[in-house]
Amino acid sequence: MNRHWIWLAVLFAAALVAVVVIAYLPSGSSANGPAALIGQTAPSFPVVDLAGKPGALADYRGRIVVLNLWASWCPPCRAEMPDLERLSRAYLKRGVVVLGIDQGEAGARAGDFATSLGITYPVLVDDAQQYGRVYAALGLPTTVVIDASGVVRAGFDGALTYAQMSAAVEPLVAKS
Amino acid sequence: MIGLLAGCVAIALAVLLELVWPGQPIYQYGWYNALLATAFVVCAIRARALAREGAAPALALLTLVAGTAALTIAGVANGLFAPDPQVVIGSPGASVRVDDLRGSLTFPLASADPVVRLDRNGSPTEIGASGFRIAAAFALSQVRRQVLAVDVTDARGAHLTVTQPNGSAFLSPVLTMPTEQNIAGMMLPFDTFAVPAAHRVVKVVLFDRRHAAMLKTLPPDGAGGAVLFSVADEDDRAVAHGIGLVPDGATVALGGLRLKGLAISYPAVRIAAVPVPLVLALGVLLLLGGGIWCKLRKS
Repeated sequence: MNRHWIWLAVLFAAALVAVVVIAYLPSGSSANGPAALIGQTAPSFPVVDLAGKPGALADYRGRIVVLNLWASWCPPCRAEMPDLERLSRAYLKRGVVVLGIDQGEAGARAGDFATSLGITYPVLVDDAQQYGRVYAALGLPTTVVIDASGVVRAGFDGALTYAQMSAAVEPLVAKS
Repeated sequence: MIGLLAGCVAIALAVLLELVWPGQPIYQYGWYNALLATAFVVCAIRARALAREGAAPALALLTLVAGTAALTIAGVANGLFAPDPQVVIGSPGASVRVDDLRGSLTFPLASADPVVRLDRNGSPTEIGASGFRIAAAFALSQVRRQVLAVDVTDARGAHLTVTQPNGSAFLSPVLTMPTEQNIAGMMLPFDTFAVPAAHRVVKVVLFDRRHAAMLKTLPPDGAGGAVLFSVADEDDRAVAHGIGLVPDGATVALGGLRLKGLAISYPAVRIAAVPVPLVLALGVLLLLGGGIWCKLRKS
């Protein structure tokens, strides 16, 4: 009987120690950058378009949005934008909109740059860099794919190829 | 019996204090934890003696000791295994992953908003300006600190992108000033940012009102704090006319940039480990149950 109680006490103490030690263990690695927002509602902020009129991500709710954060000084952004334009043209009629959001620059500079590349998809100017910090950009460009209900479905750090962009939107297009 | 009960209650109070005043350095001192463990051993020995004397039912004494053991283990584990208290600094609107919490903290967009949100296991917890919230085995409370919102334009006034390659948020124009720089014996908040379009890197030192009052070089209109900007090129070489000390909120032309820094008070979150609440609750229940049982049977 006595031995049983001793064993019970040892088990009780071991269980308690296990519980408290596990409680202080940090979690393993987790998603960082824009991918950390997957599954969350995409935040939207009022900014302006290239003509200076009010605009926001929320204006495109109900459509699949490929949100691309960029700036004119960023060489990978320049390299990626023709593929985004191609994506925009290819998927426009299938409910996909590419939305470029310039980070931290004047509207005139962003407009000149977009025009020089022949960009026809909508571009917003976020001079306060609200989108950049909330979408956890680790660099530029940063691309986030948002479904028609406004939920983030994919996030990418760095320039994408057309094939990568297409692969990211195709499952959402097929679903809708 | 009274001595045993007093000892158990003393251990319980000591551990419960760790929940009321979380993150005190004493909890991690070796002698403090050794004292807690020794007190428990003394209580256990005394309970065994009382059980042999028949002063109280053995099971009641065992329950009392088990509760005290749970509390002791919770307290000692908090001292020995829990991570040190930390302050998590986030940029406005940014979400910062905290591995200890297995969740992320989302900081408010505006400094006037006093609430930081913890998202953990899909359930949000709001951390307000006062008091603290318990999440898992950690107490979370707000601390206010000075951050600096910077605005950068070129010589013609066109806005330029601010980036923080080493900061908590790459694309944030708010500097969280996480480190300190020793200048003339004063430890001052320090941070850096880049202006890629202009190929410039800017170092920033923030002087609060008290430190700014000690500066002889500050213009007379500087009634508040002050900001020291040091502009260099991308290879960290100083540029001509690249250093300037200006009153907080003033605009200055340096190294081909027009710079403005505005100090604002903004929340950060202090995270301090506490004894695991579940184990504490179990310990208190067992201790109370065992204690009442002992007294009832004795009377």
